[in-house]
Amino acid sequence: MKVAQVKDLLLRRWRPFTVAFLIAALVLNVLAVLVVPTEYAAESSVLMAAGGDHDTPSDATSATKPILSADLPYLATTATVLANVARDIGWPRNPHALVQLMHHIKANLSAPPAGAIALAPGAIVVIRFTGLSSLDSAAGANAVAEEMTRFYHDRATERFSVLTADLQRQVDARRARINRVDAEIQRLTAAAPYLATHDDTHSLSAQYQTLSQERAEVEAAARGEAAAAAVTSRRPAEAELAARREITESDPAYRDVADQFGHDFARLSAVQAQYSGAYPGLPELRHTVAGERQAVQGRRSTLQQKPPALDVGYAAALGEVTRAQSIAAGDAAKLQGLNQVLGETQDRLNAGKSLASRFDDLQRERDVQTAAYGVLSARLAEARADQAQAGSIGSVSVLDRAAYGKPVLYTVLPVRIALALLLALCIAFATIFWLDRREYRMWSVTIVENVYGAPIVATLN
Amino acid sequence: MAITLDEQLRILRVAVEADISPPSQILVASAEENDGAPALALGLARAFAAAGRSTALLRLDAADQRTGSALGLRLAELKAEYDVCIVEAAHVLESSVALDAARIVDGVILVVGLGRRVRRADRDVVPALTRFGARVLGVVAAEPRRLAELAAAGAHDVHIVGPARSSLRVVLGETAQSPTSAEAHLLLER
Repeated sequence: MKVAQVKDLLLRRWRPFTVAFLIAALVLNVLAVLVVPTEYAAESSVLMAAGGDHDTPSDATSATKPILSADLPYLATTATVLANVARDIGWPRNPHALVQLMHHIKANLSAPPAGAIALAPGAIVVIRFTGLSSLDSAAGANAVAEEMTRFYHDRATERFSVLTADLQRQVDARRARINRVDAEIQRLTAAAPYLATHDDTHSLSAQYQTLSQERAEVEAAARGEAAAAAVTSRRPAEAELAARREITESDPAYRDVADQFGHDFARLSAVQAQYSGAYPGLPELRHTVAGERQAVQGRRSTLQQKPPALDVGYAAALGEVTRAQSIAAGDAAKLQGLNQVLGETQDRLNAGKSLASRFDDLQRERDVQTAAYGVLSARLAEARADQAQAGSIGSVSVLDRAAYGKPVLYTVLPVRIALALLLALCIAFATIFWLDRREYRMWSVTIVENVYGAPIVATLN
Repeated sequence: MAITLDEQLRILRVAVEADISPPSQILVASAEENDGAPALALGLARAFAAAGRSTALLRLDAADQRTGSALGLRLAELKAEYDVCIVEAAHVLESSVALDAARIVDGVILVVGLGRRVRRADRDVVPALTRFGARVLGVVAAEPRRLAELAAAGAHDVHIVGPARSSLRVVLGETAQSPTSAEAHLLLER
């Protein structure tokens, strides 16, 4: 569109143009004054003093691609850096807020002036942070610089961080296992102190041997005493028979009856031997002898019923039996005691063997764990040294911190008003252009020619 | 340097004469009523008169009930009497007399005021006239202010005798050599 056409348009549409401009200017200026705040921008800078890009560490997303100096500005707006900056400056940390925060940050590599001589390899990233106050913008710029530097170092040492973290976990696991083994050993030692030395085990075995020997002796003695008691136990019966025999023999009535019976029985025997059964008086004799036999047996029975306790021999025999039984009982009790002690000793020996085995296993495991712990500790120390070395290569550090923020030019009130007026002007122009397009009019001969489909023979303008 | 209005009218006269040699009859018409056909007809008549052509300006009456043959007869009379006869008819598509005149005259010039809204009649007028057998010489695109100037200037040149009504038929007849050329001679016919 030519200037003349714009001028013509303005002449034709000056009324809507004026109205649109006034309304837009009023609204935009109100917004510019009341709504749009003055923004401040602060700058901090980060120096990458690298020996060369090939010395820089790998990016986290690639195992082989190094972080180039040209990538540094990108680090300023990574999600990790944004989240950390938001935490540092008290910014909301939801995704929408982080996206807004990203719009407040600009990071660029500083462009050296033409002809500048590079004194040392490296790059400077200028970080610009816009905020609603001078201090906020400075704090934001500094937070971005620091978090970007930290993020870079984290990325630089990340592969070693993974390794050291893994080694640390292994070392901790070994240490914990050793502690558990030590605790187990301590518990076993407390429960069975002799486990600490094998001599104690041997002494327990010797004690067991001694007890076993003693038990054998006691057992042999007990058997002897038992045999003696068995022999002695028969003596009271013999003494009782003798005592009863003596009681019977010493009884006068029994003796008279027995003598008479003997005499008559002898006479009967002689008669029967000398004479036949026809001897007169034989049946009476036989009857007499039978009666006497019964008398003798009856007296004997009566005498047998009397207790022989008063007999000295019988009483002595009873005493011997009692003494022998006491000895045998004593031996049996002693034997039982020995058996109990031997059982306990046997149990202790058995338990001691199990504990000793467990103790030995624990000792061996502790040795293995300790050796592994030593190896892992050495590897961990080596990894940490490598990590420190990696962190020192291609170091990135905050070069300059922002002290305060300066007002952003386009947010200063006069500029805002001027911009609002300019925008209102644009809106007014857009309005009349829109009106012109909305109403299809014959503004030019070309339009007339197209509409009429006939040539223009003359123009009166 | 801007071309004056008179020069533009002279250019238009030359363009018309290039197509139609005198004696000729030209219909100046428009698709819309207010497009300035009377002003252009008057200006064109003045240009022909200034060029030494005896010129008649005939303003058609939309309410005229005469047939095409009667109109043709009258135009033939004027043609015999004048070198150029300018017939003025606004809103040509809505007037049967104008359509008759368009069919009878030697050529039709359409005038349209620049800046006004495009209407359906603008697109229909040329096909319609062609269909009726008219010869459309072309279109004159005129700024409204130029047409206003033209009308104002015409008012000084022309003495309108009699009632200046829509039914008026004005015939402008004078030559450049006429002592009263500065003031057009009007014949009134009813």
